[in-house]
This record gives sequence, structure tokens and C-alpha cells, in this order.
Amino acid sequence: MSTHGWLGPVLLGLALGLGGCARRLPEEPPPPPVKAPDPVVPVTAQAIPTAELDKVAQAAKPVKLALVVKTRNNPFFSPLIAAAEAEAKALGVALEVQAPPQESDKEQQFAMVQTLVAKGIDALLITPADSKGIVPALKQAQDKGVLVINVDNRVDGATAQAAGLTLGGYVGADNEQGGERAGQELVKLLSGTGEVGILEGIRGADNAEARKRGCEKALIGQPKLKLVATESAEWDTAKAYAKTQAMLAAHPKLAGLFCSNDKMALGALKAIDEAGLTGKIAVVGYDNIADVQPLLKAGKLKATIEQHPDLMGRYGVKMAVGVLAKSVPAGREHLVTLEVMR
Amino acid sequence: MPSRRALAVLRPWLVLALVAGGFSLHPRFAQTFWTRSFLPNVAQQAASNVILAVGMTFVILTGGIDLSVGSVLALCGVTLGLSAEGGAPLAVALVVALGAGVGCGLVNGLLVTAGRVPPFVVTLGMMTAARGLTVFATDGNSVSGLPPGLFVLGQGWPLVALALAVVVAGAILQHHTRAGRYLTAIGGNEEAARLSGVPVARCKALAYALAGLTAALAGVVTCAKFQSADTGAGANAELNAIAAVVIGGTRLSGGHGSVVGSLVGALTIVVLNAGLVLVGVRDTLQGVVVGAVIVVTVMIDQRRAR
Repeated sequence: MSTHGWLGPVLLGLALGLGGCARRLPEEPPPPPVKAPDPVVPVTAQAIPTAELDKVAQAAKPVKLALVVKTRNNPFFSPLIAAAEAEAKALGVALEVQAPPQESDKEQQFAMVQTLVAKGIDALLITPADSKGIVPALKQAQDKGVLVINVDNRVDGATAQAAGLTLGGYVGADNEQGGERAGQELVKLLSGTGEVGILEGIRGADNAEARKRGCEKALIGQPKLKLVATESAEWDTAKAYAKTQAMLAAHPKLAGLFCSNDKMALGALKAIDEAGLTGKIAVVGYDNIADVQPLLKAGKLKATIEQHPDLMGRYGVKMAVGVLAKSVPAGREHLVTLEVMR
Repeated sequence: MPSRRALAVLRPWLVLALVAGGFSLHPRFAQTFWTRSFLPNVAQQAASNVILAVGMTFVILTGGIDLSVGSVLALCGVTLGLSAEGGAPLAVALVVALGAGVGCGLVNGLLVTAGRVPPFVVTLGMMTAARGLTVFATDGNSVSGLPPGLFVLGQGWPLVALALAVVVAGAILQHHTRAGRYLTAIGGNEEAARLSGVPVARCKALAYALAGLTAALAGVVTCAKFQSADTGAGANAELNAIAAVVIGGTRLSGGHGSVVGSLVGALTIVVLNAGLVLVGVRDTLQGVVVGAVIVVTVMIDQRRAR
């Protein structure tokens, strides 16, 4: 960016601010920030296999755990919470679950963590609504001797490091591997020939980038397969519908489409249906949500990736109990098994 | 028997005392809440809502409403972020962000006064427009190139001091300046105020500009706290601010209320949220309790006013 790149936003501010009422926008809107996704936690963290976590036994002394997820208002988290609760029961530990009503209530999630820590817990399982913003609250927890286990969405590594926060462990899914499995599925469905498109999630979001990267990795080695379009529909069904319509118009020979989440797959399938191309384009989704089950059964959606949030809840609790009992080393990373659902 | 006026001033404090006192009957709350390590959390958690509520108080005092502050908060946040990312010095970026907030407020104010559009509609429009502009300017991505010098504002005593300074400034403006007295007079009886020579349009525009300014300040604080300018910041913030104002004893019809009351209202909401977690109420039911408290407080207020 040029040294005067800040003039754009400044003009925008002036037009709004000093001008009183914004009659027109500056001719050039501020350029959207294009940059690499923020670095995330220790890629170097050593993996811990399922078998080792499965050995975690009932806690010897009473243990209090808390699980704070982004929100209950998202079908992804219900199996995660249910499995964590079941596992806590099986291991004989107390588990309190707290989640803000909306994913966007970052302030409330921050407050919930502070309050739970003050209440007195031994370990906190956290899916941060804001990977950077949550760090001060987690640091407070660590300072009070609470073990912090990161589940699913990652805490920002650089911010954590700057604040002196060390995570007790991580349990989540390998989104890149998930994307790669989806890509391989597409290759198989198309027998390695034809034009392919990708609908990405929100650009810059860690999981969106990883899924795209993984899918591209699977497609690259195929000489007769051509990646003709990569568009972002920001995880959104309606946007996916519009983007797919445009993609079909631009690439009439499109034979395969990877949608980085199932919500976007729903929109894409609708557009394909309306264009009368059902069955002609192989669509693969991600997340295995309830809404795509009938489509999967009808064969309209060829496959989707199950990330197993239930396993994240289960092994999150196991890891916390294990690290507290010192039967599991701290600072390890566990990636749950992914499954291709057809 | 204290006078009606004294009762009105004391009422929000009574509600806060009742909430904190009631929870204190529970041993877990009593042990945890009243400690030197927990009380600062309460102040910090309330801070951005306190800041928003001060501006909102002025608008509601005139009998208006401002639904746009949450979106304006996000817009000012990304304005700050984009300016800083583009290389503007922090001070310049801050001035631009605050200017954007005041600008949005002035647009609201002008449309309400000169345009004669109801405040609900104007600010509903601004709510959508500001959020849209925020997403447009950033392509929906959050801006993370914020100068680290900003982050001190997001936590600890600087955050609390800033919020308190806003309250003090607001209280002085309300009670010790002519403009402040005019604002209350407009809400009490706009026609009477106009006839006795109050520049109604200018005062109302001032109220919305102040709401915009506090929204911008809250935006700055939110950026500092979360170390990035997020297009989704401030979702539902306007509703929390309105809740703080009405729990704080300001009447939605205008003419009665105070900035300090809104501070107490914002604290009450935070104490409620913390208390419900501490005594172990299920998270799914917490919203029900907070909602009931808002309605009951206002109901009692209305009854007293009659």
C-alpha cells in the first residue's frame, strides 16, 4: 500500500464526520485489506493420539470443569455440549456449560469466562468467539491457576504469546485435511476429469482458508481437472445461491463444486436445480448439518465432511481431566477423526 | 419522608442495591463477588455500555431514541482500523473515528429535526446504513492492523477511568449547562420549550451528535479490548444501552432521568449477568431473568409516575 493509503479511510471519515451529512462517498472506496490469515496457535504443538486420551480414567479427587462455547444458537455446538456433559458424567467430574445467546456477543463471553474463573474452577474448555479478544480473560484464568483447554476455534497464537498465555492443550478438527478429503471425493466422483469450482467461506477466516487450501491440494495433482472458479459466499446460503448462478453462467461446462460449508451447499444446489442441471454437477459440502440429510439421501448432495463436534466435546473433557491428573502431558494437540458422509 | 425528587434520584441505586443484596444471600456470590479481584471485572465489563448509555440518555431525555449506536460503533471501529492500517498516526485515526461518529449522529439529528422523520425510523435507517457501510468498507473482514498503543484503553483502570470521565462530563453537561437543561425541558414539553425560546432543533441535533460521539468512543474501546476492528462489533449494543438507560430511571417518553442513573443501570445489568452465573442459573434462562428485571423496573417506575 502506498504511504498515502490512509487517505481513503480518512476521507471517508471526513465525509461522514465534518461534512455533517454524507452526500456522496469518496470516489475511491478504501481498498479491502488483503492479507494472509493471522498466525494461529502452535503448529509445532505435539499431537496426542486417541488411544492415549482414551486411557484417561475417573478423576481421583473432585474436579470442576467449565465449558464456554460461542453460542448454543448454532447446531454445531449442541452435539459438542451433549458429548462433553456425557463424558464429564462418565468420568465423575462436575461440568458447567455457559454460552452467550448469540455468536456475536463477544463481550458476554468474555464476562462469562471472568465470572466462572472467579467462581472457582479447575479447568476451562473454551471455544473463543473472538480468537484475539478472549486472550486477556484466559490469561486471568491462567493466573488463578485454571487450566485452559482450547476447543474447536483456535485462540490466536501471537496474541496469546504476547500476553504470556500458555494453553493446556487443543482439541479440534484439521480443516485442511477436511478440505483435502472433500477434494479427493470430487476427484473420485468426476473420475479426475472436468471443470471444478470452489465456494469459500469468509476470506481470511482461519477455517475457511484451511478448507480451501486442502481442497486445492487434492485437485492440483489432476492433469485433466481444471479449477475454473473460486468465489467467496461468506458461509451464507443466499450468497451461495447468487454466486453459483453467476458461476454456472460463466462456466457452462462446470462438472463439480466444493462448498466449504453445508449452508452454502444448500444455496448452490438450489441454483443448480433451477438451472435444470441437477445430477450433472457433483456437489460436495462440509459439516454434515441436519438440513442436508434429505439431499444427501436423495443423492443431490454427493458427499459432506463430518467434523465430529461430539468428539471435540468428549476429548476436550478427557484432555482436561487427564492434564489435571498429570496422566496426559500439557500443551498437546488432538485432532478428531474426520468422516466423509455419502 | 424523602421528596419525590429525591426518590427518583435514589431509585436506580435502590434497584442495584436490591440486586446485589439479593444475590449476596447466596454464599457463592457473597464469597466471590465482594472481592478485590472480582469487583474490577464488573467495572470493566460495564464500561463500554456505560459510555454508550451516556449518549443514549441525552437522546431519550429529549423523547427520542437512537437505534443506530451499535452499528455506528462498528463503523467508527473500522474507520479507526483502516486509517491506522493505512499509516495514519494513532491520534489522527482517533480523531477521524470520533468525527465519523459525530457525523452519523448529526445526520440522525438533522433528519429528525429538519427532516421531521420520527427518531425511531431515522435511526433504524442509520442502523442498517452504518452496518452496510462498515461491511462495504472492509469487504466483511475484520481489520487487525491496530497500533498496540491503543490496547491500553481496552482494559484495566484506563478503561474504567475513561468510562467514568464520560459519565462526569455527561453529568456536568446535563446539570450545569444551559444546553443540558434545555434537553430535559424539550423532553418534558417540546411546545412549551419552543415557546419559551429554547432552540429546539439545535438542542436535539446536539443530543444525537453526543450519542454518535459516545458510540464512536465505545467503538474505540471495543477495538482496543478485542485488538481488532470487527464489522460485527456492537451487535445489539443499542438495546443494552437502552436497557441501561431505562433501568437507570430515565423515562422513555423523555423529560426525566439522569446520566448517573444510566451508569447505575449499566452496572445493574452486569451485576445481574455475573450473579446469575455465580449462583449457577442455566445460561439458557439468564436472558429471561434479565428481561423480566428490565420490564418490572420500568413498570414500577410508571406506577410511581402516575
